[in-house]
Amino acid sequence: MGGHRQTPMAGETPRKAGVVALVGHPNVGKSTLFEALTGHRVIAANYPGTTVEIVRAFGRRLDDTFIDSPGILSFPSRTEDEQATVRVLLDSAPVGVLQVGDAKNLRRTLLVTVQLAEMGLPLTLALNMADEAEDRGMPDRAEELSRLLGIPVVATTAVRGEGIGTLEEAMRAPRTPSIRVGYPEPIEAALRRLAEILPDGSLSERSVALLFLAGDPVADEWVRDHLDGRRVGEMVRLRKNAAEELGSSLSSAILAARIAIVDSLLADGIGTSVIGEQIRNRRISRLTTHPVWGIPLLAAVLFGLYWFVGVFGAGTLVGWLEGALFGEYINPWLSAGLDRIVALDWLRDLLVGEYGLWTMGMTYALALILPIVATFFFAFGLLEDSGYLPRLAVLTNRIFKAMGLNGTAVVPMVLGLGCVTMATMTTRILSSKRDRLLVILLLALGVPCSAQLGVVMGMVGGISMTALMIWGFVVAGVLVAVGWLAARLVPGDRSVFVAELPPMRRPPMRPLVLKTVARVEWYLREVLPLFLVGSVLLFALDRLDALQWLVGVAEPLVVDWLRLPAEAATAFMMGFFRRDFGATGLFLIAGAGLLTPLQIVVSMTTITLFVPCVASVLMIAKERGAKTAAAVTALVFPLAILIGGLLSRALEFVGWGA
Amino acid sequence: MHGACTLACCPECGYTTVDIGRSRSAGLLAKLFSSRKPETIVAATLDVAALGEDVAIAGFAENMTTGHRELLRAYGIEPGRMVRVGQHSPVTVVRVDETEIALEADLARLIFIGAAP
Ligand SMILES: Nc1nc2c(ncn2[C@@H]2O[C@H](COP(=O)(O)OP(=O)(O)OP(=O)(O)O)[C@@H](O)[C@H]2O)c(=O)[nH]1
Repeated sequence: MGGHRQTPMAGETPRKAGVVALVGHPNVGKSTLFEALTGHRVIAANYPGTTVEIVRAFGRRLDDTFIDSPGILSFPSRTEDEQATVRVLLDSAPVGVLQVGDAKNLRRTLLVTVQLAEMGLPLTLALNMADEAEDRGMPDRAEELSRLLGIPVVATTAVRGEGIGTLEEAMRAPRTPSIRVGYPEPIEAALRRLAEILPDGSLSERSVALLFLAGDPVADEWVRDHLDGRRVGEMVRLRKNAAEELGSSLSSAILAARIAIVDSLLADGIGTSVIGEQIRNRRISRLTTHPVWGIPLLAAVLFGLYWFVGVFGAGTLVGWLEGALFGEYINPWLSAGLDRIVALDWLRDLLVGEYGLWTMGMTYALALILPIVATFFFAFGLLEDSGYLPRLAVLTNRIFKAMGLNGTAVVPMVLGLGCVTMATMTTRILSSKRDRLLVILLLALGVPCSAQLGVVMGMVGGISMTALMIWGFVVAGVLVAVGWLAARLVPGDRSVFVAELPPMRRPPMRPLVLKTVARVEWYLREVLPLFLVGSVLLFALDRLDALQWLVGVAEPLVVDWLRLPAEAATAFMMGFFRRDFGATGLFLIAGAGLLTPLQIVVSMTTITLFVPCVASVLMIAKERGAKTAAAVTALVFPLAILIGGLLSRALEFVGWGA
Repeated sequence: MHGACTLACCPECGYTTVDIGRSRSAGLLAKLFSSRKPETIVAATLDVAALGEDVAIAGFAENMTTGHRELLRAYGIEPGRMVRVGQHSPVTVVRVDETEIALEADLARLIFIGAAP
């Protein structure tokens, strides 16, 4: 390895196929461009942080493997998703880098370019969002930049597929950039020493040394993995000495030198625009974060979402699919058919019994959940692509501040309304460990997923508006109270809110539909097996009479403390696996006339506060470790039961709904 | 005076005052109702910049963390550059080039500004 490393001088680089990493700021269209280059669909959305994991795929017309990486603001990496990008560069042995930049924000784009240039890899720069730059009356500067940087620079509008051909052509002959950043002498001296110690890798030693000096956690890890303790010690010492000699933060000095280069590049002809004039969508965009008008606008958005998902998806579509298609045709027909063919009782039960693979697993997954998640994904995609979510963060910042968090937390929380498991993964966009932990806890505790929300709406909303408000008020109250308390108990400081607000855009239909389909497919692939496993588990428990036994254990809690009928214990046991299972079970029990309005509100509140599902617990374990998952679970279940019992007594006390 | 006593008494006239600084409850109350603005405003800061104006970033306060400083600079909010102030409530929103950045008052307060040249 290291064969293509060379002194940072301009020059044609012999082209060999291999891994090409797409790197750039968050939300500049990397995923969209990645798709255009590979034909592989990744989810793109109009808010920073859509890509939290790396995706790789073969080029359509180029023989390379492309890697889509999470957005990075600048090096060193700050958040976990930025760290994933640094890891790609260090570990995937790229033969080239395609920087995706924002044509209307040249300064920021070039700041990343100079950093990538140091890596000594062939580099191509795509100036994406060329349409938006043009709308703002900015001239196309690709050629000028290409000359200054010594690399191919191509203007693209990835959403419309414009400039992709030219880009591919340019990438056939990428070049190593000709610019070089000079740093203050103490840093340069340290860089020379560090470069001698560092092992060969795909990136230039100078760039790895710079990452190391700037304190990039991934570079630190990489160095520790590749060198023995003595050399690591030597490197750490060099870093410390350089910092002392410099008398200020190394990372700040490094950044300052890079900014200076960018300034000189821009002075070389590419004058930065004065702040642009009013453009079309800016007025709407202003209203969305307006202290007064923002609120009714938000209410309208929420109502629209509720109507489309809760009424149309969970009501109309589920009615057709579950009630009619599955309930009246497929399932009875299948049971009757199997009755004739399959002689073994238990096998028939396994397939079409109470906890049957088909009658429970498939029916739930396809008829009950699918319509809700499909409508949700569509509505959500609309929200994402419009650029509304980061603006929601502005509006809700104050609420999250009370919980020791900041507005950025609203993104995973709102995503949780779709699927808590998926949302748990997106907590990676939060900048501190503490914030991620808090949001994961809140997600597990009180954010109902789309599947559950539908049931709650139907059941509690069916009683009265007051009932719905009691439910909402208690759940929100618990969330805020626990958030408030946890924020004080979990060590660390609250991180201050800083976020980029992408422009509001009218979402193009085709990508939106494709994105919805892709997500539904993902959902089926990921979640359908879980449903099947869940129903086999329940089937086994039932067969072995373990369910009876478990229900027996749970009964004192359910009957004595929560004051619900004994049957509800079964529902809560099911809720342990998935809280929407539990909610549905309660739905059936209520349907049988066994629950008073008070009991409905109590049981729904309790089940909403349950841990969402086995999948989400596994996701917490994967993201934050088994210990955290165990702790969250151990905290959430008793708390849910406690609140339920208290609510029951409180409602009884005021004489509501008995 | 022993440890818990918070009274001071003039030996001449017998006038008794309370040392508020030593009272826990007064301290707590003061904390609850304190406005978190610094008492002396040494220079104009971004959180009070006039709406719709272009202002030049003059510098960052000493007590801003290095992390925030670098984050802001990476966004393009750095000394010498112009930003346009869009709103202050619920949070401050400024535009740098073609990027809109939202930041909380707690952070905006640590950014010094000067008038447009
Ligand atoms: N106007 C315009 N919009 C674009 C263009 N390319 C992408 N977009 C939109 O910009 C938004 C962001 O695109 P993504 O592909 O998700 O950006 P990304 O860089 O992968 O974002 P992260 O994964 O969050 O870092 C989406 O809503 C796209 O539809 C373009 O050339 N012009």
